[in-house]
Amino acid sequence: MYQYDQLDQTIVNERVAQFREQTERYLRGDLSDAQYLPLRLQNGLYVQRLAPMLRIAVPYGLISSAQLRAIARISRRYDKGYAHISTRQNIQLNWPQLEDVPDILADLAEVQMHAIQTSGNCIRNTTTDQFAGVAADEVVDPRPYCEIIRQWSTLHPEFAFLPRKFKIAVNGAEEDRAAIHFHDIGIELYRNTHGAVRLKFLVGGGLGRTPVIGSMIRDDLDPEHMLTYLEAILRVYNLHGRRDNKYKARIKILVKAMGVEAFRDAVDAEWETSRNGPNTLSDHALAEVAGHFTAPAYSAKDASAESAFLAEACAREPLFAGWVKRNTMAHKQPGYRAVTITLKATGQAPGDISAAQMDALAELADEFSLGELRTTHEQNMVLADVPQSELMTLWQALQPLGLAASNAGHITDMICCPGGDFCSLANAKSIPVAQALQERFEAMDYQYDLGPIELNISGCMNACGHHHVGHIGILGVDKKGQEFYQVCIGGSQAGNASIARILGPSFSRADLPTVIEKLLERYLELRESEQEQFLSVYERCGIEPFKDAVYGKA
Amino acid sequence: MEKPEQYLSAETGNAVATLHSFHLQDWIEAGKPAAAVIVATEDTLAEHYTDLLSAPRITIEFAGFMDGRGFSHAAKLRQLGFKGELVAGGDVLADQWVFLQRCGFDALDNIALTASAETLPGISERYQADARELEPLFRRKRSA
Ligand code: HEM
Ligand code: SF4
Repeated sequence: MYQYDQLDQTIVNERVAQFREQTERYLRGDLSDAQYLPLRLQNGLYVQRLAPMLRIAVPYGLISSAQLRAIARISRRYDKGYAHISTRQNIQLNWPQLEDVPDILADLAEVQMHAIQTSGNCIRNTTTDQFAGVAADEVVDPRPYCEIIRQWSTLHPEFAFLPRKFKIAVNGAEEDRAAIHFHDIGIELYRNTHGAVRLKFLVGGGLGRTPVIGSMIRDDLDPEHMLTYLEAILRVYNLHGRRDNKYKARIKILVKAMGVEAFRDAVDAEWETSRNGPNTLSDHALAEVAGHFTAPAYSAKDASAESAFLAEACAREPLFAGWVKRNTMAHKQPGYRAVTITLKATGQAPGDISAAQMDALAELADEFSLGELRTTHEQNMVLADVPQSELMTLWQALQPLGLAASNAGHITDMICCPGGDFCSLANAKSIPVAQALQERFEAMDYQYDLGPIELNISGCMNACGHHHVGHIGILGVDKKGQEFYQVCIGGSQAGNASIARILGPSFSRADLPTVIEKLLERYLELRESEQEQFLSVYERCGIEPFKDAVYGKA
Repeated sequence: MEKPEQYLSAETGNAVATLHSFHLQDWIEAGKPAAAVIVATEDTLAEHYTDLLSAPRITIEFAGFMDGRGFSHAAKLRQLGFKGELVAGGDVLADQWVFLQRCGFDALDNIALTASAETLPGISERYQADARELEPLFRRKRSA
């Protein structure tokens, strides 16, 4: 994992001092609300319904056990003893006091963490595959590229006051687990026929009010040009993106208005000025950053003994076998697996994690997974490097923590925004919807019979819960002051990106579990085999049979 | 029309002799003389870059401090080789001064604001190449 040197540390420390001074000026009344707004947002501080919210950057989802312990400590000292894993792999504190935020940032800086550019109209934390560096289907490790983008985008002087926020995601595996089609810029890393790394650029994807799948503008960029090319895109956006209407200010609207061809030409013209300029990456610079992400010293020994051990444990304990099947993933390194720990226990907001759970997970990471963890955009955590012979011990250790649910990728492992319980923009609550659905579908056998399915919930059209890309999406809407919910189906965030279609008129919260159940029952009737997943059935049969199941007169 | 003005030089801290400035449209109508020009953040400069490069001074008037176009105008002018003075006018925050400088601005046209900007804590290190620091961090200390 990337370790700060003195220069990184200086930047973060001085940013804390700068923000402390800005906050003092605000509290003294020397800065107005409007003037303080961009300054605090650029440091991750929102003011939401009940209290400020502080969003802490987890660069491309990598976090060490020491860092997780620091978050646990901070959440006890300054918050209510828990934190939230966001759909962009960051960590949020829901209840800090504004006056404490400079101290929180100082504590974070001690463990090489910060909240720089986690909100505001600037380049946000870059996200990637939570299995980066370990996935068996990986073609190029995205982490060095993400780290280079992190450094380049951090306190970039030209792009701190963009028309709107700007999000970049990078994927280097066969399966896209980073949703690159739904980011302002999505970068796909691949190898050309000569085995050299090349970059494919998608622009103008996004969710929110106007969901759009990104368009390809370049498919063969040499990595040395990554930063100058990014700069060209950002400059075109900064100069030409709309600033008169915040709902039309994202780059997706600019790309649509100009047309992909014209946008590509504008970027190329801009690139002429900076191409081969100082921000051109040298092989040396790339290699140096890549040196932070070399494969760790895997101690496990004998791969076939490891898998024999695992097979034997699975045969002995069917519950464990189910967990291994659903919550662990094939690893590049023979003898290892990557483990997903879902944060979706019934009765807790999806993605929430208590300080005690954080401490315990940090402990388990030290013991079983080289002291590192990852956050996922599905609001879960990952231990990426677990020897197969240790999985049973790990599983047993997770049980008393309430972290052993074997539901990864299944219906109760849903994505959900904070909604009306915390968010002032909400049309409707979302957490109670998640809970009602979790209660309805708790029965594990039923979940397993359904197979992998993604259910995403947002409390309003800002789409923080990614409802447009859920296999099933739920959106809170306001009908004459009453909370209602629209249901859509058929979205996908993966390589076969698609935007879900609205089923029809919206429902009351009380009716939702039954509505979703009807959709699932129809799926079970329609599927041709147990292997055919919900999304495939939708693609094969279309939306009509599902509409019929929900609205049809029985 | 032409606008006489006074501003504070970042180099010396002194008020600099007034220059006659043309607003962009007047400057175009006057046949693009090698004179000081005032542009607004929403102006499109693309067709005028070559002629603007010989201006002794360009003032970029920010429509609002959230309007980041001025940063890109400045960075682009510097990248193209503009050697004259770049002044930030209009609605900017003292807290933006460091980023403005890094994009190539030499001065703010508000003397009081410049004075308070100079007292703010800044950040002494930077990752990117910019108008002042021509090499990004990865080409400087780290690549020894
Ligand atoms: C509670 C305070 C929150 C507020 C006021 C808020 C507000 C917003 C708004 C206004 C947007 C739309 C932006 C746009 O269209 O440009 C947005 C998007 C988004 N939010 Fe939130 N949000 C909040 C919390 C969260 C949380 C807790 C998460 C993570 C679980 C989250 C994840 C996202 C994501 C991923 C998007 C991106 C959708 C896209 O690509 O356009 N938000 N948020
Ligand atoms: S989707 Fe809407 S309700 Fe949910 S967190 Fe985002 S802004 Fe709030």
